[in-house]
Parts: sequence; structure tokens; C-alpha cells
Amino acid sequence: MSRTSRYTIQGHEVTIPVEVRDAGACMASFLVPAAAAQDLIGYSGLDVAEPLPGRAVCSLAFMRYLDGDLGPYHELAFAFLVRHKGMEPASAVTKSAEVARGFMGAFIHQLPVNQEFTLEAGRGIWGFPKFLADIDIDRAGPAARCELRHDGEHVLTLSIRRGVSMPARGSSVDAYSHSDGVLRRTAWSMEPTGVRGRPGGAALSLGDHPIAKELRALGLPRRAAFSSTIDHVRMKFQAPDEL
Amino acid sequence: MTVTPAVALVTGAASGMGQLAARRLAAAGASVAAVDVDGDGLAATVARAPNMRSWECDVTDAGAVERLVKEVESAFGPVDRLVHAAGICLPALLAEQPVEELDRTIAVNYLGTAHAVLSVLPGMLERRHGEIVAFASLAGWLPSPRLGAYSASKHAVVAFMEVLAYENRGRGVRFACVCPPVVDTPMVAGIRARDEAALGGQRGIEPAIVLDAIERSLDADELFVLPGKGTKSVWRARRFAPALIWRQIERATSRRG
Repeated sequence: MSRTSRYTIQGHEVTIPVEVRDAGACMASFLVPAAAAQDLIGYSGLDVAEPLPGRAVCSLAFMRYLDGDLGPYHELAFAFLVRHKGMEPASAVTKSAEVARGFMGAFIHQLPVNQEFTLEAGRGIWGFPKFLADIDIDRAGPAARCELRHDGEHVLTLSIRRGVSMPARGSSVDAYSHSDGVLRRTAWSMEPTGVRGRPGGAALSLGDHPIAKELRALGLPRRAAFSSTIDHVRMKFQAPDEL
Repeated sequence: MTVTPAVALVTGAASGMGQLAARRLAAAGASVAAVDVDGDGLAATVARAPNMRSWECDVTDAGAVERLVKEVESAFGPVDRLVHAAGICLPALLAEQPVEELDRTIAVNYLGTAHAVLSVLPGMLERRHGEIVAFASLAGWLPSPRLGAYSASKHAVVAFMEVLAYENRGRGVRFACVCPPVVDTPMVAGIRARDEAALGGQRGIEPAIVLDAIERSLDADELFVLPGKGTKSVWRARRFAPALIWRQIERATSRRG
């Protein structure tokens, strides 16, 4: 396990921690069958977290990065809540308790972005599954909306309605990523402001792209468990640990 | 939802509204020409954004602006959207303000707008396609004590944009004249530092609210962008009951102490 604190990306030096000073985020979380979710992310060697017996949490989040070390760009994250690496098999009750106590990580399964610099940095530094795609984000209308296209094909459109104002708390989470047979864990902290949320609140439509098919295999589109919008978030990413 | 322009030219891009506008456009994938007189600020704006490039240019120089547009178009292709956010505000009581400051305010705020807009307009009209976003201010409708020079220059921008939009209606170009109240930007911090009384206790709105309102206005093809709660009511009141507004201003300024 080695930690580097400097990387050179496209001739620019990027230092750890990588900081994002201003970004906006919109997210929808769905309860999906745990077995289907496990099938999809089994390649990582991780187990999905189960807040309810037989249910996993799949999240779709779209982000607009404005001011940060990786430049301005759009991103869409397709992620799952997972049990930490190396935890013993547990009963359904124990697994629910883990989630209730917030003891879990986030596995990033797909992470399309629309700019080259962040693509190279994300893959090179953390092994994030970034690839280039067209990502339109519109937060000016009554609902925040994101349309993802890849290779000219429609993947998904997600819109999220405004919820009620919620307390904005800082948090940190372990983000897991898997590339070229290596599992990595990255400490990721967030300080959001202008947070709104509500149960439901999301509308998802899917195209025929392979990623859309992955989402369909999870039983989506369906009603979101919860959706939220964040006006501004500051974030820090540490160097990854190889597991 | 407005389509992301392929090429955008943003003035005043070294800080505040212009910087945020440039970053949003770059994040969305547009090729962005970031323009300002402040080279250090520009460097921060374009950092790690391969689809952005900076140009140092003073918008008061008509010839320089024309050359700039030519350079940008040969680097990126035709400009689809101009966001003209370059502007200055030097608060003072008019009777006490050096005349050079009045000249400078008109040169940057009004003539700068005219130079930028008129340099991109012919190409847009020829292509029957384009968007011109120019920052005026709510002070372009609402004269405010201690902001006389600024207010006069923004009134000029409002008149210019209204006439321009009328003369070119139905020719494929959309115009947005942005008239925000006080916005939380470095410019407003500068006004407060120079003259605490100029803005009274007014809190600024968030820059993002202004940019969202611009997108909606471009979508709806509405000329005047009036972002923020209550802004439209103040604007209507000024148009239809000017005396009422002065009573309000008096009340607000007498509270300023």
C-alpha cells in the first residue's frame, strides 16, 4: 500500500487532498433487490449493504463541478451502498443495524464525466470508473434535470423535484472503486449548504444503452426512496488505499 | 431547456458573475473565451479547464474588442453566446465625484457593452443564430443615491439593449438584459469597502440565482431578466409609480444612519 501526494495530469500538478470548492449535486436513491445489486457489483468483491432484509440502495447522482482542482465539468454517479471490505458475513438484523449506524461505504459502479482532465485524474489517481459522455444538466427549471448520452445513445434522463429545506451536515464516507482488478478505498469528505430533500421526488427514464439495461435489471425505473438537491458542496478527496 | 452553446465569449470573467458564468458554460462543455483586464483572475478561471482560454482585453477599446472577437472566432469558431458581465461600480455622491470617475464608469459599463455586443452581432445576424446576454442592473431602472454614476451607466445599457432587441426582432438572435438587485460578488464587496452607506443593509442574492434566471429568460425569449424575490415588483413599481419608489428609497436611506 503506497500513498502518493502528487500526481501529474495533462502537465498540471494535482496534490492530495484534491479539493472541490464549489459544486452542485442532485441525487435519487432507490431501494432495489439486493440479489440483483449483488450480481451487478460482485466483480468488486464487495457486498451490498442491506438497510432492509433483501433490499440494497442504488443511487444516481448528477454533479456540476464549478470550482475545483479537477476543473469545471459534469458528472453522473451510479453507486451502491456497500458493507466495508473485510467484514464478516452477518444476519439480516445486523446488516440493517450497520446501515442505521451509518457504518457503510459507497461503491462507485459507473462514473461518466464530460471533460478530459477529470477523466484522466479520476482514473489515474483513484481508479474511478470514469468515461467520457455527454451530460446535460439543467437546474434552472422547476425540477433539476440531467440527460446522459454515450456514443450517441440515450442512457437515462433523471429529474428531481425540489424538496423541503433540510439541515446541512458535513459528512465523510469511504468511496470504493474497482479497476484493472484492484479495489481501492478513498476517504471523501463533504460540506454541503442549501440542502433540500423529500421522499420520492425523482423521475427516471431509460434508453437502450448497456447502463440503462443494468438499471432495468435492478427493477428501475421505480419510485425513489428519497431524493435531494444540494446548492453548494465543498469536498476533499484523499489518496486511495489499495486493498 | 436551453441548448449549451458551442462557443461562448464571457467578459468580466476574472471574478464574480462573469467567472461563474464562464465556469458553468465550460462545465457544460462549451468552448469558452474568458475575457477580462485582470490576468491573475483569468488564470484562476481557466485553471484545469482545457475547453477554456483566457484573453486579456479592455472592453473600453472598441478596436481591441473587435480584434478579440476575430481571434476567438478563429480559435473556436463562431460565437454562439456573448455574456457581457464586465462592469465597475464607484459609489459616491455625484456632487463630490471626480468627473474622471463618471467618464470611466460610462466607458466600461455602457460603451464596453456596446463594443462587445456590436462586435458579435453582425456574425450572429448573418448566421441567424446567437444569444446576447448583457448585464445591466436593477440600478438601471432604479436610481439610487450614492450610485448615480453606476445607475446612469446601467440606464444606458437598458436603453441600448431594449432598442437593439426591438430593431433586431425576428432575426434569429436572442437578447437578455440582466437586471439583478444586489448580488453577492467581489464587486459588491468593493462597493461596501469604499462606501458603507451606498447599499445600506441590503443583503446580496446568490449569483447562481441570477444565472438560472438568465437560462429561463433565454428559453422564454424574454428581454429583461429580473432575478430574485420581489425584483419584478420593484421594477413594475418604478415603471408605473415612480414617485412611490422615491418614497421607499427615502425611507430606506434615512434608516441607513
